[in-house]
Amino acid sequence: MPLWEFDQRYRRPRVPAQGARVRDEAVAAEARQAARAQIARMHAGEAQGGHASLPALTYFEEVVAGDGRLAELRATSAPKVALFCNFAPEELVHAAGAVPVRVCAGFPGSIAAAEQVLPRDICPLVKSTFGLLTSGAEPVSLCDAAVVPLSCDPKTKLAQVLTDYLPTWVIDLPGRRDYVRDMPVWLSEIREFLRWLEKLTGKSVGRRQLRESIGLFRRRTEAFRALFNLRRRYPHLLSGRGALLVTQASFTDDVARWTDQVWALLAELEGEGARQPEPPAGFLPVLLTGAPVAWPNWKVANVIEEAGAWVVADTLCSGTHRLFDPVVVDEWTTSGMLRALALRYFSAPICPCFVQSADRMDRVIELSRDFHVRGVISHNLRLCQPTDMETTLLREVLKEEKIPLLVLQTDLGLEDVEQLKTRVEAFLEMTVEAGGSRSERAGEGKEM
Amino acid sequence: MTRPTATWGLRPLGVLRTPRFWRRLAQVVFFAFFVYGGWVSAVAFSSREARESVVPEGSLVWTQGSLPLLDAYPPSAVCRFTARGRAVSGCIVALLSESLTVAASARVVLPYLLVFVLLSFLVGRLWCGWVCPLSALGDFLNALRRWLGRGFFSVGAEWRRKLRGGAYGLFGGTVAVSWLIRPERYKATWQCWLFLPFCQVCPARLACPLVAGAGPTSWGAFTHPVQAFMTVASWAVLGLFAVTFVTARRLWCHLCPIGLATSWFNRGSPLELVKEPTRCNRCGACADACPMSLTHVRDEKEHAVLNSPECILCLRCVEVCPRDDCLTLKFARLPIVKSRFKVTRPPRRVRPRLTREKKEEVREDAPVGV
Amino acid sequence: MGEARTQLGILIPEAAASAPPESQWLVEGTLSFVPGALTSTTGFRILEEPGEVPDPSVRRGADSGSGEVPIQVTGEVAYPDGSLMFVDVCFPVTLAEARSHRYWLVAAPEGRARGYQPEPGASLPVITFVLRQESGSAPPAIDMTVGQMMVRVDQHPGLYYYWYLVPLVGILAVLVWRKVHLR
Repeated sequence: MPLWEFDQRYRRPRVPAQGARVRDEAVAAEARQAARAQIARMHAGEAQGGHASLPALTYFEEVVAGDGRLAELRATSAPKVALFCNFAPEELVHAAGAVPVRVCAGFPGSIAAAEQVLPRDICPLVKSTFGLLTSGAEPVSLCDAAVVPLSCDPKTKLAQVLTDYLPTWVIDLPGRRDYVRDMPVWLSEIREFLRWLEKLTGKSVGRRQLRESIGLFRRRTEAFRALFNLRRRYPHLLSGRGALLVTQASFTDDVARWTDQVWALLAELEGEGARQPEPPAGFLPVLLTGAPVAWPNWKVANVIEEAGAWVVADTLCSGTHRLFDPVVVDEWTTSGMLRALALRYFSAPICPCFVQSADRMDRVIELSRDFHVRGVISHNLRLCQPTDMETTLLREVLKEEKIPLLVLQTDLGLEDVEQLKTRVEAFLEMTVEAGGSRSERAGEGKEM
Repeated sequence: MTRPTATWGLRPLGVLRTPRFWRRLAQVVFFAFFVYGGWVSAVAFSSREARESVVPEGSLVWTQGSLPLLDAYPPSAVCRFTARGRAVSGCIVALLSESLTVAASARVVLPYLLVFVLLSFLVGRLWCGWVCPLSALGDFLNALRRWLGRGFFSVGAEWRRKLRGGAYGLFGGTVAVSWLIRPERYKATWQCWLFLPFCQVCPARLACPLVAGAGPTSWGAFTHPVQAFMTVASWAVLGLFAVTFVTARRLWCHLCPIGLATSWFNRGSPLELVKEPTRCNRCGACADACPMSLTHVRDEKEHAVLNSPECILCLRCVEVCPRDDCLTLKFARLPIVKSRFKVTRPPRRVRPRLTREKKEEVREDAPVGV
Repeated sequence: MGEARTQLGILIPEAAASAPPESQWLVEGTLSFVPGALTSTTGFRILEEPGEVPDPSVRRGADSGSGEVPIQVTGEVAYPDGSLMFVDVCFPVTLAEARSHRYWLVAAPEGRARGYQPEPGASLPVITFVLRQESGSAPPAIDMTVGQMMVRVDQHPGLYYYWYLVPLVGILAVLVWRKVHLR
């Protein structure tokens, strides 16, 4: 039994206990409302185009804001495993017969509930998610177990706190992304994780299950990459929030169905692209980087897009970088597949929680060049220290690249929306004036 | 649902566009030429057996005399002890050890050296990855391993350095011994049993003619203690070769002195493996796929050119890299192969619907500012 | 083909430590040629000194004062076009203190071949010999193998035949320059 579970001396039975949750109806209902409100807001911003006119997006809206998927999760007998980060391999959860549910959420209304247990000055995403759990909001409260990769400090302690609520598994993430020295450690962690999953579901995971899971999630990645490539060619067809919506739906949705729906969306987008190959006048592409923009709190994305810019690319772990990297299997033996999985979930991410910053800087530069962005906006969530600590370097790197950078220090609360709006609008004006030479698309130099 | 295979994403481009197909084809064609070409040479040039005069009878390195099809010493282990004759004159180590022993004048050896240097310079260690018949045989053993579903082991940088040091030792030792056993230095005749010292223990001497169907010119001789030692050593090395290729992919190529000679030309060759650093996120797929267990393709971002003395240019890294245009193979700055993430568009099917419940209305006082 | 001669350094390694000095050794060996170089062994001679090429019509070994070594051609292997690939020769050698002798191998235009028969019953220790190319002399246009390498030895000695060094050094220089450039 893992250490954090067997020492029972300091366990306190917390409310809600397993299976007898006291649902804080208010918070849960507000969270649902917030989700629907966000969808409505995206429709209201139809002046952006690329959202309401796409029927294929309705499916994704229903997944994130409707009850359909939640009903399926309620109905299924397979155990649902709450994943608190991108570092936990979903393929393994699926191969073991459980349902992976990524639960990172940014609803501000549940923070008060969380602060009864957690302190005030920690990552607001951790508090929000934890608060949703204790309030009984779905989907996090539907989960039977939790997996916490130790990517940053609040998650480390969260793992201990969570053991009072859910069976929790911890995956130790080495802070160095060293292929030679740290991969063996990580690989052994992944193997232990798999063993725990097998115990959880009672099913053994062999070569066949791994192959099928990897295949399924590979097709998901391929669909996402097709979408990414299309957005690179026609960045104006799908708004940034539309793309984030598609990715957000993958947090909870059934993988095969999500993949199919993305291909349907792609077919529609290609049709649109044939009709409208050039972006409209005044098209202002920006790159969004930094801490996760967590559903349903898309305050920053709303502010940016309603100010007239398009988030054409992002490096968010709740956005592109959740689905961009595939699992590359070299040899289809069990150990080969496990190694490929472990490698993808360890070596491919560019999260600031690692020591090295170089790969994330490279990614920002690559996306900025490929998408011809006018500026980069860094979403620095308060108390996300690794992101803050990389900001100086980011500033210098982008200065050398001659791309303007805007750093938005913000919290999950909605008090500073007006401030953000002002700053973003000023920034966009500045990029429009200064950045005519950078853009190679039509419509340069014109304001919305 | 289509089952996942190792050839995902190949259907849109076809298998003909992968480096892997062309490499296997090249290995098969060159293997056929270098190993079975000896039969052609034997038929074309010799109707009767003849003896070479240089070495005593019963030596392990007696070549059944006939002319080579191509009088050259190309890079890689193109063994001259193939069936009944030889397709080429031999490998570079054989050239060096023979010419040192018989004290061939520079005028004799220079043309061969020039050909070797030119071929090595042009494409570096591509010869090891695409042409070498010994490693083609080894890759066949590796394919057996994969077909059986067995895993492999790989070694870290420290062991690779040791193996390369071993290659230097083999190469230097061969050169030194060849020089020392020159005939005018004979005090006794036992040195003559050391003629072509590396050839005597090289697995190609036994393996290539075995595969060619004629058997080596000598399976082993025990008339002299040195001969006996060399016989035993050659069988041990052959066994080690087979075991290594079956369990550790291309580990053997770190030790090969012929590969060592070609490896000096890898860095600086016009055939370059180039990485665009901003497109790489160090995901490590290349390092895992590399049969030589090299990690520099993953880690190196400061220099664009990734040539390394140990890279055999098999292009597995370019094949598996999941980023578009990240790794490129270039010859004299002209791109030949680029890495590409292959997306397979699935066939159209009826989209399953999400189960629906009654939709709730948005409340007036909902926190719309979210 | 015309007159051709080459100088051979024939070194006889000792077969046994107890060989008596000043005795006659029977030397056997094989000379090999590229296709078309030699069509007959009629004019084959091995001479002890560079002298005049003896009349090929004269029986080999008949004129013992000319410094000619009596040789026996014990075997020939021909190419499909009739030219000789290998010629086995056998000849006696007297060794004094020195353990090396220098001989001239001469091949002249065809005449009628007549062989030289050694005395029956002769039993001398048989040793193999190694052909070593002497440099610095005036090599004729004869093709021979050195070890297992085929080589054409031409009329003109000297630097001209080292032209291979130029591209060799050139390529190596380019290689080293590119390596340094890559660092």
